Amino acid sequence: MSIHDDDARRPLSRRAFLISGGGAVVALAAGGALAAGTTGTRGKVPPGLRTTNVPANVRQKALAVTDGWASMPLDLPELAPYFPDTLAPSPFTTYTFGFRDVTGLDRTQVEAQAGKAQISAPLLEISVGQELWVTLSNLGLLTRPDLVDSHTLHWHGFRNAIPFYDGVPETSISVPIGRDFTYVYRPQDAGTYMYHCHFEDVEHVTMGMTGIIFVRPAGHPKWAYDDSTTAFDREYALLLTDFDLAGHWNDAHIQVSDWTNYKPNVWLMNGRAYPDTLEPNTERAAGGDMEVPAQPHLQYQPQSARLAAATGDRVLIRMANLGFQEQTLTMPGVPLTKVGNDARLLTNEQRTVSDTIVLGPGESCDVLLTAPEPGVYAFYNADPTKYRGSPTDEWVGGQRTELHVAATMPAQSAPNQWEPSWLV
Amino acid sequence: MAGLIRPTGTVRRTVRLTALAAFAIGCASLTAVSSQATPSQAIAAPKSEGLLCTKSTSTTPGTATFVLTATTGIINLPDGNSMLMWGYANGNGAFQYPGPVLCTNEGDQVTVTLRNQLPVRTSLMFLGIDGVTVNSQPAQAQFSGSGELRSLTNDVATSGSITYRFTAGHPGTYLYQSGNDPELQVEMGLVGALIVYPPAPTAGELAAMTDVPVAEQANVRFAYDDRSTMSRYTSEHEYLVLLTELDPELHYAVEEGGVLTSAGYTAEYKPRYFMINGRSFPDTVAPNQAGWLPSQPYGALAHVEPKDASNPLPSLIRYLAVGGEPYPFHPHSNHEDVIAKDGRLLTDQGFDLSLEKFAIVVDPGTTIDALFTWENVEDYDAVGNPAPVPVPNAPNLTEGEYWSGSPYLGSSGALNPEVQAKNVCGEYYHVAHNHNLAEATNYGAAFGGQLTLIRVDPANTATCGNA
Repeated sequence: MSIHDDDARRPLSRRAFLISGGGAVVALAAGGALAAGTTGTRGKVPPGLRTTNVPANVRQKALAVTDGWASMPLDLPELAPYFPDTLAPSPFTTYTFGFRDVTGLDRTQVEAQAGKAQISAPLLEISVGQELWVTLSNLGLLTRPDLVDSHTLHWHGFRNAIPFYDGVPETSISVPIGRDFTYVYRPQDAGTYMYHCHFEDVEHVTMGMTGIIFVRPAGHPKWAYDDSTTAFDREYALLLTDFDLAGHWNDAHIQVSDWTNYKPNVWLMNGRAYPDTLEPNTERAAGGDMEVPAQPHLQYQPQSARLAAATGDRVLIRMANLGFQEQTLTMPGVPLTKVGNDARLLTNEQRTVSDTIVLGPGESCDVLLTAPEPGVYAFYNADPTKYRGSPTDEWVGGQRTELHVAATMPAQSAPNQWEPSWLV
Repeated sequence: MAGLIRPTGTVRRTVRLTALAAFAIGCASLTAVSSQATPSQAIAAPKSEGLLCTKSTSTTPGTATFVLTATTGIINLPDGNSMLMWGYANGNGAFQYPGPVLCTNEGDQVTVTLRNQLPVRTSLMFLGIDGVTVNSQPAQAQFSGSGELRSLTNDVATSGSITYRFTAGHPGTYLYQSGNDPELQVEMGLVGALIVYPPAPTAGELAAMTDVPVAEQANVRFAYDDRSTMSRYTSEHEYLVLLTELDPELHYAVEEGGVLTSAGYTAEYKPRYFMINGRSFPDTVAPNQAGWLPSQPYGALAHVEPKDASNPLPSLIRYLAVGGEPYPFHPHSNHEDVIAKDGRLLTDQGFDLSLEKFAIVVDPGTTIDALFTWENVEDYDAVGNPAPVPVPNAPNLTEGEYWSGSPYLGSSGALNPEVQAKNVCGEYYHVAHNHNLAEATNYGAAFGGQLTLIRVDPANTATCGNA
């Protein structure tokens, strides 16, 4: 058989692309409105959800990649002109590249998400024994139509990977604007991994194309690994990143960055800096757009970094670092047992108990704690130089969140889930 | 932004053809010589890939003798820049960066003489080695007449020489470097690797290795005295990953500004080049002793075949780092099994504490030993087991220069003619790189710096040169 994809539904002619993406760019320049593209030939076929040769154990996800705007809670005049970016539409401050979960949307809805990237990327999960097929659609960069970058999906840490599905553009293929490609994964090892775009990696990663993906052991959805000592009641995934806002401003303003000048000025958990870390999770609304939350500046930073549990709960924190700096996080007075590192179960002899976790770039770990008496327990970066602060709050802009412990709490139905009504 | 590369008198070459490096990858497998280590042999034949030992000049069993000459030289960077360096030459040989890989055997009485041709005092420290002596006295820090620390160990003035002695007591991977003003001298290039090999397997030990085919037994080595499989590897695949960084302004200040001490360098330290074995990508994948890199003899291409019953032994990768901060090194394609740190196997009271990692954080002044294998788990095949999602049609993808054009190991497909294809025989390439991605650049330009490739060949394939 041919090694090439003869699936006729996928190609999009250059003319069709220019009509859709190009039209959106013109509309943005004219009035800031985002035009929904029309594709004609592709109709309403859901992108990415392949229909032929799909085994029963496959879970399909569709991700779109594009640019967008996020908000950082800084109040620092000395960061001008880089922050806030005067090009940013209200209430946003900072230009980003990112992923969106467009699973189940039709082609028109997907293309309407151009320019609406989120940070961090959608949390992905799969279980050993299942296959994950992720289709990546490249919607282009609305603010930088001159940048015709392709994109990729790199599952960081996937064992015995082949280049075809590894997403390194130089050793494999990448996805041009207006195209999509489906990555196939058959994970065999439980644990916490991460994913990111590898195209122009230094730029695309620090612009926000980063997320967590984790693998559950077969048959034990409430264990971190195939080992009963890693059982948990609640789980949270925390992605650590850091931004040099000058790099983001440069990309928005068609300037080139010398990345060896990289010097971060905001440090994030799940794409948010303190105090935004504590705000609730938000979801995708009907029709495909992100819902507008009570704090509208967080529309494209939907993942909360707040932890919540009932006294006695075993809480799993899946942590990954896709920033460019090593970080040290601490939860004073709460013993954290490291049970996994880089998606490998730690033996009893290898486990460490500490209230501090050190995590290098590209590293992940799995930490278990038992929720103590009701109260609020801070979880924060122990390096005081990694907060730029504001005139009123020295912690602003840094990696700081809280574990809220109540006497009782409803069960979690999804990772990272907590509701404002659960907190007392 | 200090993004300008200043032209200086040291620019030897302004244009380098990356195609040359690509050609070299193709040649490497054809010329690879299996030479690594019968550890007791005096001189290893040059080989194009893998760790290249500098053997002792001594012919007396149980001793190892080396002469290092601290001198100046020039290295080339992939963007056309070049840089004045200080470094170690092997005896009367040419300047090189990093210094020669000093290979010794466990128990050797090691003698290293340092000859100083630099304009400053200098010295040699052996990090992690106990019992170093100079003139039969323990090596120790040196202070100036006014009580200021001059060197972390016994040092030597310009044009002088000094001899250090120690016993190679523990197998492992060690750094050697200058103990004088290391902030300047180590950055300038006065750094190298020292390897201590344990005894090779005995005939009896080999006979007991029923999992290793007879044809492979000559290559079996242990990295440590533990004789289990924990540190067992094949000498066919032993690799060095010595991580360093350079601030070009510092080198210009030394060359043109008369700066000879770190105190004399008042600008903010800003590394712009990040090296593996003294080279930045794509030079990292050029062969050992490539003619166009005359002062940078050590490549960093890992070149393996899939693990299977006929090829069961892992590669050994020896990581070392000097520099300003930890380097988080990320090998694509598979975890690496970290078995040792700083020359000590990771065991405690009989427990194996080795850990498979996908981010190997190498702290400044430390070493890590790791084992690597790659297994063709899915064994995708165009006929019997096709990849569930095939290669997109030509207009629907962007192709990389190392991409074979096919998902299948050993198969190739046609690439867009505008891609400068570097794939030879349908082999797989994976990257392995610093995940502080600002350091996987050449002066900020992506896909450079501390990045190399892992090449996976189909087993026993004539077109790949390994039939």
